[in-house]
Amino acid sequence: MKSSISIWTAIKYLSFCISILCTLPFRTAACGPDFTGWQFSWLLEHYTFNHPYFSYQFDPGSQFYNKSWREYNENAPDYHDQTAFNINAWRTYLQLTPSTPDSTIKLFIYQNTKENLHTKNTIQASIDGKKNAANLWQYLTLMHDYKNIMIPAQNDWDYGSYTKGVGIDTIMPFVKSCEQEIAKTNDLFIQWRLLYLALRASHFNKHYALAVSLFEKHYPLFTKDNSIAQYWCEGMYAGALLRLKQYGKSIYYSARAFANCQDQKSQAMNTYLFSNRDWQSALAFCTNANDSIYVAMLEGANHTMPNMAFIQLVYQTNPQSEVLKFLWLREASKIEEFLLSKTSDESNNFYYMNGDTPINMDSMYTVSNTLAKFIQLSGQIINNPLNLPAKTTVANTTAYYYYKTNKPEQANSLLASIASSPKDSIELNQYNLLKTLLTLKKDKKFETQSFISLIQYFKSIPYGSTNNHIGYYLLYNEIAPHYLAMHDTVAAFWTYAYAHCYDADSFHIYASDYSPESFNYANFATYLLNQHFSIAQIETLKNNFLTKKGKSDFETYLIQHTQLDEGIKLFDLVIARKYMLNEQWEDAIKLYEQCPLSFTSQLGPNPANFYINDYIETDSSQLYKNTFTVKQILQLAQKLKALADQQTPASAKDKLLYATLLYNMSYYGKNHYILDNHWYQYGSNTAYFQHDSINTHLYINDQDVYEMPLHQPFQNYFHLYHAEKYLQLAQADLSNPEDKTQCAFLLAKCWQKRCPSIKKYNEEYQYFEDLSDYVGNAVKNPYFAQLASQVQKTKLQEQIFNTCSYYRMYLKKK
Amino acid sequence: MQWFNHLFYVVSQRQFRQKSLLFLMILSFSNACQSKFENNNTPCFYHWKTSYHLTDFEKKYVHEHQVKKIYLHCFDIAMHDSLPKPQGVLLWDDSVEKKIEYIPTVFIDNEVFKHLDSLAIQQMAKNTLSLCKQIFDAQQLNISELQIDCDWTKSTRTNYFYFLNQLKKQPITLSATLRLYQYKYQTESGIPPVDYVSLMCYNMGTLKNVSADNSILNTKDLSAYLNVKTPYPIALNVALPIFNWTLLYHAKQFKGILYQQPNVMNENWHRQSSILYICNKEYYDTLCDRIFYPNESVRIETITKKQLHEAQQTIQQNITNTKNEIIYFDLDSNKISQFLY
Repeated sequence: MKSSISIWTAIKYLSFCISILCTLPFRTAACGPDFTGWQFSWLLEHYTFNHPYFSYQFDPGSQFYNKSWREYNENAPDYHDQTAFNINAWRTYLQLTPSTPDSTIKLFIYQNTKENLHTKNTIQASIDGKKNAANLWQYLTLMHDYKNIMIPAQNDWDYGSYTKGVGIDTIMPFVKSCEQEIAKTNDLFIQWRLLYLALRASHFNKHYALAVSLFEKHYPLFTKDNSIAQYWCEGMYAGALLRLKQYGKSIYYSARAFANCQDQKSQAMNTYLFSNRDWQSALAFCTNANDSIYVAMLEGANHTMPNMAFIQLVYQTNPQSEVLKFLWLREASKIEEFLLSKTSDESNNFYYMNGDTPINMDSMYTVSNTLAKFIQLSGQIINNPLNLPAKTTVANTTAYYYYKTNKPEQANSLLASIASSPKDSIELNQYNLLKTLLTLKKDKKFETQSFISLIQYFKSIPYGSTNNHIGYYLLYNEIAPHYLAMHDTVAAFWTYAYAHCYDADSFHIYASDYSPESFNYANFATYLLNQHFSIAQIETLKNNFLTKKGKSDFETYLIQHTQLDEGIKLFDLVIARKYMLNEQWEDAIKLYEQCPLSFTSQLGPNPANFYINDYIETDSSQLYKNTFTVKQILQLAQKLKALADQQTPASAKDKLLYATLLYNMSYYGKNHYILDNHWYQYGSNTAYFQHDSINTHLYINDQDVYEMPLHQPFQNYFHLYHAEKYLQLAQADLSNPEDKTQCAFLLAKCWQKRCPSIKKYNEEYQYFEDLSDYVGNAVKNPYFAQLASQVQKTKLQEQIFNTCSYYRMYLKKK
Repeated sequence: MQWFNHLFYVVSQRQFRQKSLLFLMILSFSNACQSKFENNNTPCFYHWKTSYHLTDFEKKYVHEHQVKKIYLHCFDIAMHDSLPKPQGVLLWDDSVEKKIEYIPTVFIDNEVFKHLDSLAIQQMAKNTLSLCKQIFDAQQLNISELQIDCDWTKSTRTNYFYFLNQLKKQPITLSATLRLYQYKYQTESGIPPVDYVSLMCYNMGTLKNVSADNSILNTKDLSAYLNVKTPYPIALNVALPIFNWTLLYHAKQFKGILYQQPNVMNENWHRQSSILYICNKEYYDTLCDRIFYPNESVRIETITKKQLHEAQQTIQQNITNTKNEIIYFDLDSNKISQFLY
């Protein structure tokens, strides 16, 4: 096994990744970076975090994986402490002031010891102020005893630690103590907790029948207050039933606990799968409509597509459930994820029957059948007066389905049918959003105020409490493509820029890949800025940014809310780079001081030095030192260009040096960092791969809607036309054999970069495979011929032979 | 309120660990198989649960088939708070069978050996043996042999072998499990300082690639692993699991393992290859209790008698220094009834 990865391998891998990243967007629609669908997803996630009925353990995709964006990792610094719900319950119960920190309460409840139970503090005082203080202290003592008796002692290597406390002789006295305390009080808060302690002690020590009998004895006598402790008990009961193979009832109580218990909801419960899933018998235990929906939610977590037969069954028996809408959203999200999102070639689901007959599995009748049943049941729900609580959400959901499947008339009709129906705040926003989008599609009009208010609403949702990515999706997936389709590239640019700013702001990730400092990173705003706008147009954008004004209200809104950490300097940097690409070194130097420090503070090697290897290859011996500032590099470039442009034989050496500098600052050179941020971005490799064309196409929703001219310097950067030109001019006048060798080899390198690139999508491993015949191309390299025919052998020639495998290949094949 | 989460987390982790440790192994055996290799072997079992309890069926089986040994998984060792600690310690729910020899078996997470110095390893060796003795004392059992299961690597080899050497100072027979690649690449992996090894025939294919061959057993790959120039320098027995599984794919993407096999012998499925079935019609499968969709496929991986026979021949042809023992993974009524009857 390899113990380490060489730098060369790492750089190759990095280059590969970058090429994939750069190429991938052109294979897919201009869409959000990390999610296939967004509409149902946001509806769903919004409820996930805001509504007590829903939680993502019902995520259909989590049958095997936890898909939550918040990973279950207790060690993570921002991990949400699941004990918070219990701590809050205690805070309320003891009427503790907000000044009492959670940590103090937690310490008291979970980590107290007998010795410090009565330490003077606010919690102690609150307990002593209760009528049933003695009972409370006894509960805390039992908690302490539980830890002492049931949890292995400190000596992990003592078998007694694992066996002690598990016997019924140890359990029963503890359970009896709990029961005695239950009998002494009518306080539900403490009763549920005492019952839970007894259940826990029994269940975790494998006395399942005892746990079941305890629950069945006490549960009917307690008032159901829907507290977390009540659902802890129900969950424990479900676990014991599961062990006793009473699956139906176990599912029923599990579903209730998952749906209602706050701390269970947000934990990684996704692995909870019943080996014997007796869903229908679980329904028999449901005494109200909501419970059956909870069972259906749990059932649906096991399938990646809606189980319409079961949903129909649940619906028919419980049509009036208020939580039906959550089930509906979840099932709709499955449809979106597995059916509607399949738009690009690679996601088409082809199988080859008998090895050669392609069948598109997605278009088969059975899938259509599921969709038809889904739509049919939607209609039933919407038209059933008993379904008022769910009607709006179901109509919104179905309207979205129509919107996504290009049936705007049906979508509008559905929205019209719920125009006057009652809506909660979320449903109202869903409704407004859909109406706005439908108008946009239908009339190409943009309801600016309506959209701005939606964006502001999403922006107002606190970070962490919901997925306020919604605003980003809207901007990125709907609005910006709309402007592009209208060929309003300026508005599209500001929409993309604001979308990235919005995203970065939401997730506090300024100055990283998704940040609005994005002119340095790969995103669509950068792409437009670099590829579409001329220097003069960027100056206009810059001025608009300074004056915070756009040509429309919405554009003004976007500009006003686009906040860049490095502000105007980013525009200056883009302009400076454009000057550099045009070899207008003096202009670039003038802008130098205005560029961000992150750019100007970089150091690199002397750009006029010659290297046999490109930057992506390893130098085993460190041949260069990073001592040149960017400014020095630009000044050297300016000086060398002036010398190289002189039409005299004496300038041959300067031409060689300047060409070397151009090579070093290209995509392949060791000073590439000066410009590479400019190119490692959206679609940068397109021209590299398809160098015959200086145009590239913009794909929106899989449609080739926009042809974008690429700047000439773009090609030069990859194909080194100017470097080659200077080298050709120098070649005739160079007299030093070593210089001649360097010139011939550099020419060969420039020529080699124009090898026709052939990229093929590898279906099996899902990446772009490079099928370009670099070696075959090298054999035809006319400059290798010159190099090989050089009469006077030089030291450099020998080094080239020993280093460059293309050259060796050329000599071998020749 | 952690119990539910904890319970299922523990169950899932443990199941996963069990699977990742041993379940990817190969083969099932049938009485119908007539190879010399099998007939000469003494049947043994791994018991890989956290509580010891044999069902009536299991008891009947081990007696009828004169099972001589049970390799009893006693606990795992993993790093916790920067210290090696036992996890999943065995609890006795039943008394032991008198005529069977029980061999304590301890799984050690390879990570452990990346973090310990020689003193800590010495202490861990003492603790390991001590805890095994305590567990066995609870049933008045003596320890004459100990097996260590660890997927050691080149970077942990020195520490792991040092640990084994510490155990070897005790007057017991010491054995260790051996993965196929460790068998194949003896120089790189080293030879563990034990009295014998149990060669575990692991999963030799990929789960992720829908088109791959049977990942549980692939005689071609098995043969490649076993084809070595130098015979293994110490005695070995062969560990063979008894299980099957079904891999689920959605749009060619691996989705997970189904422990229940759908009924593929109907018009809802198209047989793409000997093990790969593609669903061509949405339907509810009563065996799996789930709906299958046209964009899903399953790879049913099990062992046929023919494959089994071939695998046995492969092992027989390539391995000569066996102890004439086969250890089945693991002792479980369902698996025994499915594979051994």
